[in-house]
Amino acid sequence: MIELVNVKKSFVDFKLKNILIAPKQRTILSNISIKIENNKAYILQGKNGSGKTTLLKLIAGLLKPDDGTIETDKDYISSYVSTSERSFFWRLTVLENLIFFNNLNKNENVQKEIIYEHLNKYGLSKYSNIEFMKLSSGQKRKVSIIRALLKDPDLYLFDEVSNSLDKESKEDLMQFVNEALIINQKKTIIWATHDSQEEKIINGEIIKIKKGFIQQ
Amino acid sequence: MKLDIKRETNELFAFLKKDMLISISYKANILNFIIFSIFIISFISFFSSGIETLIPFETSNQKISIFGFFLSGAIIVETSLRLVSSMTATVRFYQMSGIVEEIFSEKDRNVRRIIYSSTYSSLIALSRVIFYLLLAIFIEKELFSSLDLYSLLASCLFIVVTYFGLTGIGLIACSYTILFKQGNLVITMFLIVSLFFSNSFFLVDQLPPQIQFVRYLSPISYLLDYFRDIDKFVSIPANFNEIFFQILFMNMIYFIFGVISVKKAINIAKVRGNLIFY
Repeated sequence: MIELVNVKKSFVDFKLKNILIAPKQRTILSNISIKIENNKAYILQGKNGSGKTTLLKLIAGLLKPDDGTIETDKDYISSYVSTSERSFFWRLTVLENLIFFNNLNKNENVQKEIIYEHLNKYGLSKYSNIEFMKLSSGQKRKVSIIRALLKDPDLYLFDEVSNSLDKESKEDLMQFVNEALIINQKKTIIWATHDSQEEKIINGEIIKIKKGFIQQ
Repeated sequence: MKLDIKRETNELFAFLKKDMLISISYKANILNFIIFSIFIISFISFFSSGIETLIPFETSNQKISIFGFFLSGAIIVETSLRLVSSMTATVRFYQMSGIVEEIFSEKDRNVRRIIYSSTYSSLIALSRVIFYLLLAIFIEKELFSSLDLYSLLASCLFIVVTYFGLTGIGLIACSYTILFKQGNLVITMFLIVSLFFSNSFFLVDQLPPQIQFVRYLSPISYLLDYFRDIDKFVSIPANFNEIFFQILFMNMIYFIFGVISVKKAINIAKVRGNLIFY
């Protein structure tokens, strides 16, 4: 379980001019208090700039709150899947990338066959020996999802992952998350999106965020 | 803190394999290596040509030819700089791509992963050292004819200990990169100290006495002093323990300070929100 109590996050603009006069502070999250229970799915819904990514990064431990506490179970592993295409080594092939990140994730049991299985599922098996930089945006997104699946974490943090996928792939991905991860494996998932249509496919509790405030 | 040897080995080899594959994908790397090596050898040979006798540097208690003096300076400075700068370059690359999200996803492993990331560069630098040493043996056969194996092994200890010190300096430089992104002051200072205050190319004894103390802060000056005295390779010096523990102490301080500073820097960057900037 993860519990956020009165979490606040703001960013300071560290330009010299601002430091000398008055540091500009942008408040991103204000007094966020939520409980994320194990084996449950959540849809974090909010417009662009509402603080979804910041909240997910705080939960993933990539950011630290200015105030408030984030309590987690001991030794829990989270996987933050973002919209970024750059979180891979572009000169390595898809397979080499997945093997490398898999080695970091302590998941020694994952063999090449399992990686191929995932690649097959997403129609990427023929691209396994292609350099990552040569993939399309959608294909890159799929590889980052496969990386998260191979990690097999306790908590999945999907940050608008369906953005640049075509309609079919988008639906496939959401169906997969819903059936395989939420219903069958009962994984803890936070699915951030600005698209209210996605709530219809992903089977989870809705958390609405607006201008840094939770509106449950 | 538990140390899972299998996991550490897995990760280390994963980084090594990844770096090797990336390195091979840049075909110009091999060409660069050959051109740079030829340049260094030609430069040093030209610089020291015509001087065949040993020149005793009485003030430094060193006995080495001009060729050996510059070659050892070039080897140590180049290797050290490569190690320190490769660490910062890697961290910067991780930050500029989203890879940092994966690499730094487990807070207990951040420092190890930075060190593992630089292992390939260190091995490449070490291969250069071996290459230069073979060259030195070939050129100065007489000097190397009476080498003692135990003395050689003892001198290897110095290299290992200095590696930790340099890694520490690399980690301090990484902290700077994590917090301030560009214009790494630590690297600049390290470069200045290595070139001018470490006996690498200029004798520190010739500098004003007020600033000579800087040499004692440089891990590579100890290494150079040791390696330039050829007698130390013929028999282990009587004061070996004293010198070794002095070097061990200083390098461990750099290493511990490096580990602490990089951990602090990552924490500060997480608060500021600039750990990732792609």
